[in-house]
Amino acid sequence: MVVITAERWAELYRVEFPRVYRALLAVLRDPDRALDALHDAFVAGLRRPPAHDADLAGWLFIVAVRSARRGFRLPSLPLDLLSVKSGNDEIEALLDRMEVGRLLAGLSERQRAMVVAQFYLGLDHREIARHFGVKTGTVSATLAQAKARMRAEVRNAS
Amino acid sequence: MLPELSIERIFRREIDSLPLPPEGSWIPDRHTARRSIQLTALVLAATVVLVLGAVVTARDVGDAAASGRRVTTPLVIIPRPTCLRGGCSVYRSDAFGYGIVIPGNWRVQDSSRLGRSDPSLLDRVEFTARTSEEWQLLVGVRLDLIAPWDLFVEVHDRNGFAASDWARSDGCGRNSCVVSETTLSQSPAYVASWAVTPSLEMHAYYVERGERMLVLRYVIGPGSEGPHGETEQTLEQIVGSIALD
Repeated sequence: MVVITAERWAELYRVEFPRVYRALLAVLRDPDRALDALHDAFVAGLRRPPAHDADLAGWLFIVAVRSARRGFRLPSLPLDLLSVKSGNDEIEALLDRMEVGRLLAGLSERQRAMVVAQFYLGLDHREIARHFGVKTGTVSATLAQAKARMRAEVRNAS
Repeated sequence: MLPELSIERIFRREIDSLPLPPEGSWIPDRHTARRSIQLTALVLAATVVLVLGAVVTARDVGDAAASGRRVTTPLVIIPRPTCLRGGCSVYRSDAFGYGIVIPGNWRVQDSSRLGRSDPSLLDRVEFTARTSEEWQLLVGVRLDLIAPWDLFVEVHDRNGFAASDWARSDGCGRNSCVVSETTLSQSPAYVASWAVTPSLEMHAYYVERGERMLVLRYVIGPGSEGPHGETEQTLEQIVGSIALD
């Protein structure tokens, strides 16, 4: 087993940050939640780093998604943002202008996470199942439902 | 059937165009671990103070009951039914003249991370249902943030403005909001609610206390549950438990 030092962890995290952050943004549709969740994944990796640095993007993504979905992991807000609209509306609007954003908008957060893991991060069903802690069949079924919804969305749009 | 290879290309092209935050924010603060230790120490210290305060208060009440002497506290705090079922804690601020009942699993969280940039702010106390570990996980890396489902009790210098003015200008000035009248501890109060994000709402109560303004505020996701099954009703009950001298 390769031991990942804190410095190495930070280095690997920086390399993967853009891809994982954008994947989270597509799933969560909220820059604050995406950044918070990814920070949590970074801290989680510092405390208990993954056994190896292969497929680090997938590891970070799933840890962050789990963190964002936990009951007590609602997003936190800067006090000075509490009385003004944050940039979330701009991100929402941007996603809605994008073809992918519109397709993802009709899916549940869980479906979005699996779709983004497959189509954007390039994880296969087995890897997604391992990361999410579910059976491969569950991943296949969830993705099949998601694809059906996206097909319907494409049909409605055309 | 969807052409998956094309979809993958479209996903990469479009998602890769999403904006990134400034690079300086990518990694949580370098001193997080050290601050976490400091915060933990502060939480422990606050807990010790709270426990000692509760013990002293309980002893005062017990002694008073035995001897018949008057309890020195001017505050009458009636525990809510939920509090009686699950145990509760009483937080008293003699300096600012209020007391509030929090459920047994709630605690005081140090809020000094939020600073005092507002010159009218005299005091702020944060109450949370999260354990220290959960709270650290949520806020530990971004100490300038507030946590949804936590309750904040703030005391401000009201600068001559009435509670209704505060309610209509605090968050409502820049956002559409709902303002209504209510009572807290038999004192007239105003409550304002406004959306802070598409999924989160701020609720704030304003009560005039002489030259001061007491503000109780919390942020929640309507229709959802907070930590450990907390609901908006839990927060409303805590707010409703406040006693003012």
